[in-house]
Amino acid sequence: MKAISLAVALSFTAGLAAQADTMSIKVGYAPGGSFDLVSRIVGDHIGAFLTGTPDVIVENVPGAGSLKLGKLVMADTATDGMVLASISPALAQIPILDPENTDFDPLKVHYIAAMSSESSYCVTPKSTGIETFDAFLQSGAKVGATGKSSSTYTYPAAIKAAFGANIEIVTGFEGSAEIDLAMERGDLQGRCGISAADLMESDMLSRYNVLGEIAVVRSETGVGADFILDKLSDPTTKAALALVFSVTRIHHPFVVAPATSPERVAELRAAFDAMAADPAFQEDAKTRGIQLGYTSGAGIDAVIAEMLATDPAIKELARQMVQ
Amino acid sequence: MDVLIAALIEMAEPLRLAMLILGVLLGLVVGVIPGIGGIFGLTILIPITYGLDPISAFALLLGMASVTTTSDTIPAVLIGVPGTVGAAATVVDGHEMAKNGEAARALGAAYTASMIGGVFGAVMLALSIPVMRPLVLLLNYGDLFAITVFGLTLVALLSGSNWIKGLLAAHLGALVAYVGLDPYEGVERWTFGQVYLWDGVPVAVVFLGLFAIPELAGVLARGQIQTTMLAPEPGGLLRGIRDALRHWRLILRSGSIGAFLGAVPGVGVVVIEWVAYGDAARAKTDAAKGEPAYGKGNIRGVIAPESANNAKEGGSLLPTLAFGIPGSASMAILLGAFAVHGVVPGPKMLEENATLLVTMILTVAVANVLGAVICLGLTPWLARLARVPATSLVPLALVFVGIGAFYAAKDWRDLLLLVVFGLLGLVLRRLGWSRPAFALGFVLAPNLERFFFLSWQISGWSWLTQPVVLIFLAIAATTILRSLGSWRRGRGERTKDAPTRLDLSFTLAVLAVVLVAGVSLLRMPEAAAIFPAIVVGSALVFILLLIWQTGLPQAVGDRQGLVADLGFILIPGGLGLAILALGHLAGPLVFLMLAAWRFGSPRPLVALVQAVLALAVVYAIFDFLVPQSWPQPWLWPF
Repeated sequence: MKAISLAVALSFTAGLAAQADTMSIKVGYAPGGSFDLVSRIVGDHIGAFLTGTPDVIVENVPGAGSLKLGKLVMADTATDGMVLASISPALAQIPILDPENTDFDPLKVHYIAAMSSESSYCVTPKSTGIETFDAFLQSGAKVGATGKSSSTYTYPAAIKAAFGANIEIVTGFEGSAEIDLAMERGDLQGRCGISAADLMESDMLSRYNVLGEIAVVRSETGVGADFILDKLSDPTTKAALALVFSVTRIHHPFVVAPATSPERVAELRAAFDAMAADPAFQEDAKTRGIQLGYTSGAGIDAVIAEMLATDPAIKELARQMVQ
Repeated sequence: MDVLIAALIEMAEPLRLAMLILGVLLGLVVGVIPGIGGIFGLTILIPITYGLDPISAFALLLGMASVTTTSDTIPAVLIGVPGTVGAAATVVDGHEMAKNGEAARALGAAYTASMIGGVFGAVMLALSIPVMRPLVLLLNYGDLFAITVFGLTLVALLSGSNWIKGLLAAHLGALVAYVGLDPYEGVERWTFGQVYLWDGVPVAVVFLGLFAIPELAGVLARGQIQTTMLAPEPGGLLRGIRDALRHWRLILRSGSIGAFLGAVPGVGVVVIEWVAYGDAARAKTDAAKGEPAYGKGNIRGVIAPESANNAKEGGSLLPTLAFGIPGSASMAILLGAFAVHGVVPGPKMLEENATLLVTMILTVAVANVLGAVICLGLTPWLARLARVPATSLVPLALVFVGIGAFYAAKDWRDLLLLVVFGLLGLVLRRLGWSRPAFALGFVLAPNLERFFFLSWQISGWSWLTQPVVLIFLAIAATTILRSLGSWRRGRGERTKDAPTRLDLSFTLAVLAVVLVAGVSLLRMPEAAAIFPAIVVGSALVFILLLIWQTGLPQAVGDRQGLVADLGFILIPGGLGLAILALGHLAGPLVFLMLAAWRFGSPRPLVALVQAVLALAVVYAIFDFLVPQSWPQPWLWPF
C-alpha cells in the first residue's frame, strides 16, 4: 500500500511539474494552415517576453471557422490569462453582420494583438480568360467558399451585392485546398479571400490573374490588382463594403477570456509588442514565410470600436450584403 | 537515371539516413498508440526540421508519415484496438485471426501488404510526376459522389448474416455522422446545444468505442486474446508473408485505390481503408481453400486495407507536389516545411529540385520497407501477447484507449462518448448488427451529402451524365442486384435466428431514436435536412422490414451476455472518471491498481511496475515530447 501511495504521489508531482509555468495557445483551425503557422511561431517566442518565461503549448481546436473556439473562450472563467486563442478576425464583426448570434462578443474578450494586416485578393485561373475585375463582375463566374460565416463567402457575397455582379457563390468546400483544386479543374472560376502570402506560394502568380484587392488601405506587397473599394462611387455602398473588408486590418488576432485580469492583459499586450519588435522574431517569421503586419491590442480595440460605431444604416446594408 | 543515382548518393549521407530511421521509429511508436496519428507526429518533428537541410528534413517527416499505418496494425490485430483511425477495418478480420491463434500470420500478411502497398504508392507517385496535374484534376465532385454511392453499396457485403440489420447499422452510422454543423447552411444538427459537437462526433472516439471496447471485453471474457488454448501456429509469420505474396493482385488493386483516392483532398484514410476492405469483400471468398468468411478471420480482409492505407501516402503527396495544394492536414504541415526550406512545389520541381523530388519518393518507399522489416522482426515477440492473461492486458490497453480518446480535445465528453459508443459496439456485436456496416455508413454519409451539394451547385444535374458517374453508378447498381440475388438464393440455406425480446427491444429503441431524429428535422432548413431525412425515411422502412421479418419474439435472448457487456462498460467508465478526477497520470495509475485488486491478478508489485512503465510512456509522449494543456483534475489539488 505504501508503494501505491508513493506512486500516486509521484504521478501527481509529475503532472504538476508538467503543468507548472506552462501556458497554451489554442488555434481555431486545423494544423497546417496560416493560423496554425502564426500561432506556432508566436508559441516559440512569446514565452521569453513573459514573467517566468513559461513554456508555450500550441493546440488546435478547429470548428466553424474558429467560432467554436471563440465560444469556448467566452465561457472560460479563468483570470490568469494562461490560455491565448488564435481566432478568425471575422468574429469581431459578429455584432454587425450576425447580431442574433450571441456566441461571441468582441467587446467582452480581450484582444492582445494581431500579427498581420495583409490584404486579401480575388483571383481567377488564367485559363478563364478573365483578366480584369470589371470583366469578373460580368462573367457569371462561380466562386468557391467554405461556410457562410467565412470570409471566403462574406467577401464575394458583399462584392456581388455592392456591384450587382453576375457571379455565383458555391459553398460547402472543406477548405481553401479544395477550392483551389476546383478552380484548377475548371469547376470554379474564382476565389475571393486569398492572402498575398498564399499567392506567393508555389507558382500561383504565374497561373492566376489577381483581379482585385480586398482591403481598406491599399497594400504595398507588389501583387498588383485593382483596389476594389476604388471601383465604387456610391458613398453608402462603399462604406458598407469597407465595413465588411475592415477585418483585413486585424488578421491573425490573439484573444484571452473576458475574465482575465487587467494586469494580465496589460502584461500580455506588452509582451506581444516587445516580441513583434524583436529582430530574432522577425527573422524567424521571414524564414517561415510569414508576412508580419503587427497591430497592438489597443490598436485592435480602436478598429473594433470604429467598426461598431458605424452608422446603423451602413451596418444594416453591410448585413444585407453578406446574406 | 543520373537523378536517381544522385538522389541515392544524397540519401546515403549518415545524417540523412539517421533522420530517416528516426522518423520511421517515431512513426512506428505513434502508430501503435491508439487515438493519435501522423499529424501528432508531424507537429513533434516540424520544429526539429528548421535546422536541417531539405533532404534530411523530408527524410524525417516523410519517414514518419509513411509508417504510422504499418504499426497501427499491431494493436488492431492483437487486441482489437485500431492504432490509428486508418486501422479500424483491419480489426475486423485481423483480430479474429488473433483469436484463432493466427496473430503472427495476420501480422506477417499485414506488414507485407503494407510494405508492398507503400512501395507501390511511391512507384505510382513517381510514374505520375510527369502527368501529375491532369491526374489530380481527373475526378470532379460528381465523380466522387458516384464513387461514394458505390462505396455505400459495399455495406451490403459487410452486413453479415442478416442484411437488414447490416443496412440498419449503416443507417445508424450515417445518422451519427450527420451530427454537427451542416456543410451547406451551417445550421446545427442534433448538437443538443453543445459546441463540442459542432464539428461532429470525433471519428477517433467513435472507432475506439465501436471496435476497441467490445474487443477488449471479449479478451477479458476469454481470459486471453486467443480463443483456443493451442500454442500459436509455428511459422505463422512466414505463412502470412506467403499469403500476402499469393494475393499480390489484391495488394496492387487495393494499393491503387489507396494511391488514387489518397490524391483526392477531403477523402481521407478512413474512407480509403473501408472502400478497399469492401472492394476485397466483393470478390467471392475462397471458401474452398478453407478461408473463413469476411469478418471471421479472412486474410484478404487484412491485406486489402493495409495495402491501401500505406499506398495512400504516395497519392496524398500528389496535389501538394503538383499545385502546392495540401490534400490533408499532414500535407499542409509538410507544405509549411517546403516554405521553410525554400522549396516551391509544382511541375518545375522536376527541373529545379529533381534530386529532392526523387529523394522524397525514395524516402516513402524505403520507409515502408524499413517499417515493415522492423515490425516483422518484432512479430514473434508481439504474437506472444496473444497468450498474456487478459487481467494484465485489458486494463493497460484501456488506459491507452482512454488517453487516446481524451488527448485531442481533452473534454469530458470525449470519455463519455467513448463509453456510449463502446456500449453501442457491445450491443451491436451481441445482437449481430454489423459494426463494419456502421463504420461505412459513418465515414461515407457526410461525403455523399457534401459531394452532392457541390456537384449540384457547380453543374446542376448535368454531372449525372458524366462517364465516370455512369460507370460507378452502374457498378453500384450491379453490386446491389448481385447482393439481392445472393440473399434470395441463400434464404433457404441460412438458419434463421430465433427472434428474441432483446432483439426486438433494441430494434424498438433504434426506432425511437430514428423517429425523434426525424421529427427534429422538421425545424431545420430544407438543405440541411434533406440528406438526414432520406436516411431517416429509409431507416424506418428497414426497421419495419426487420420487425416483419423477425416476428414476435419467442425467447428472452442472451440476457446474461448483455448483462456482462453492461458490466464491462463500467470499467472504461471508471477509467474515464479516474482520469477526470485525478488527472491523466494519477487517474490511470489508480485505475490500474484497482483493476489488479478487483481481478486478483497480476500481483500488486507486478501491477505497480506495469502501471509505472505504462504511465512513463504516457508521460514521455504527452508531457515531454508533445506537452499538452491537460485540464485541471476535479480533485486537484487535495
